[in-house]
Amino acid sequence: MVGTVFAVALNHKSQLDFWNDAFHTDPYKAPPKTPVWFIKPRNTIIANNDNIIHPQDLDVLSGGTIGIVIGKKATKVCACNAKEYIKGYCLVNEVSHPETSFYRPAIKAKCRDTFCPVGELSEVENVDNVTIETYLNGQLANSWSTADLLRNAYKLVEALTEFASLEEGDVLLIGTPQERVVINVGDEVEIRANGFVSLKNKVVA
Amino acid sequence: MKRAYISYQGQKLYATVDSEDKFLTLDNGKVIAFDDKEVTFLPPCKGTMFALGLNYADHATELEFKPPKEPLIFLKANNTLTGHKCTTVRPDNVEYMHYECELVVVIGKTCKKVKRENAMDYVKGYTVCNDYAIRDYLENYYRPNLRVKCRDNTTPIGPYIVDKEDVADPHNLTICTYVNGQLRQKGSTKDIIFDIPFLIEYISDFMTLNEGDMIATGTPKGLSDVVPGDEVVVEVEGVGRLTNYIVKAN
Repeated sequence: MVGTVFAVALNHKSQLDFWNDAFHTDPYKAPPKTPVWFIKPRNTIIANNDNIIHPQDLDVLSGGTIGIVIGKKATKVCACNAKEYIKGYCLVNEVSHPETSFYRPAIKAKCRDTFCPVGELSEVENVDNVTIETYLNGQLANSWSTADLLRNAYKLVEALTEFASLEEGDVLLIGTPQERVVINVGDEVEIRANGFVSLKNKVVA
Repeated sequence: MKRAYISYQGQKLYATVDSEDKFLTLDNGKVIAFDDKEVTFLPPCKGTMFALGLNYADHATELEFKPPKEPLIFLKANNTLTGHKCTTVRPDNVEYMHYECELVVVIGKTCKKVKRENAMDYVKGYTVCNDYAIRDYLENYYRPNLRVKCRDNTTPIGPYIVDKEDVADPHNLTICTYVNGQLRQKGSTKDIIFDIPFLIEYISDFMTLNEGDMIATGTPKGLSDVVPGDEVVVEVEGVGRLTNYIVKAN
């Protein structure tokens, strides 16, 4: 049973680089000082082998990432102790429409039904240097490394629990790169990483 | 009918409330006082919480923004919800923490792509929330960001859900906030920009609304700072009077 799914945006170097010029002008004025969080609500959550529904009026991006699965109530946790609060990790597909702005909460882009396939809990010790691969219809379409994240899993747990307590079963998504994979109706998208149970979903109308 | 969710003598229970908020009738038939010291009020429902920013014409002006053309909607996770008569922390070294009294719509059944004219069929009832914000933490990314709006226990909600049938016109209710007994905020839900049927149609067009989901419809003008020691009461006419106490971080 998946609890609340929190996610961080703009945590991959490529995404900040892409938006850098815009973030120095209105309405942003300055790059973000703290992690940029958002929520994937319960209507978005599906499991391995469930279908992703493509709304068809806009492009849809598959954003393979890792979810930190919380093992016990975590409040104001230090990065140095974060490991104790983590039950394990899972692959997650942070499905989204392409971002056109980061100024207002992006619920229309990120909170559509089925836009958050969550994979099975995997026995992984550390996720600081994991290569996440996305296969589209069996072909490798994207690959990125968690080594290029601005803040690692433990730092994200520290930053979020500074103001929001996490409960057992809550999940925290660690980010996606700027370049993701466009998916269309009929596609089969699979997220893979070493040591993880892979996550496969079909895209339907 | 008014229905609360409480913790009492170690058990979590539903209870109905009489019209004058004097008694709680527990599921097991036992009747106790509404202000019984052993009662802890819990948030009366659990689900996805949607909240509206800048949804009153007068408040939008106060904050020097033009009223939006599209609703500004953000989400709140369950960690931020707390019940009637609970406490909320004002962090040390912040300059501006303000209350926001809001009418909350509670969804009664799952729906998708609902038309405006049928939207009220999916409403179960109403409750009240105080959607505190700490403006020091505002950043221009997914604004209002979670650090402002999703802090632990900074959204008192309740005390109970009032059935839809018991509220004749949700778009004509007086909204008030009292700090230490003094009236600080007063408005009317008739000034809501995007009304309840609009919001249900708008949200359900792109995502499923489920039973227990909540839509906090925004707050009118009249915001002001609150500090540790303050008793803050938010009230929506005919829906409820919700008390909260501001405390220091320990």
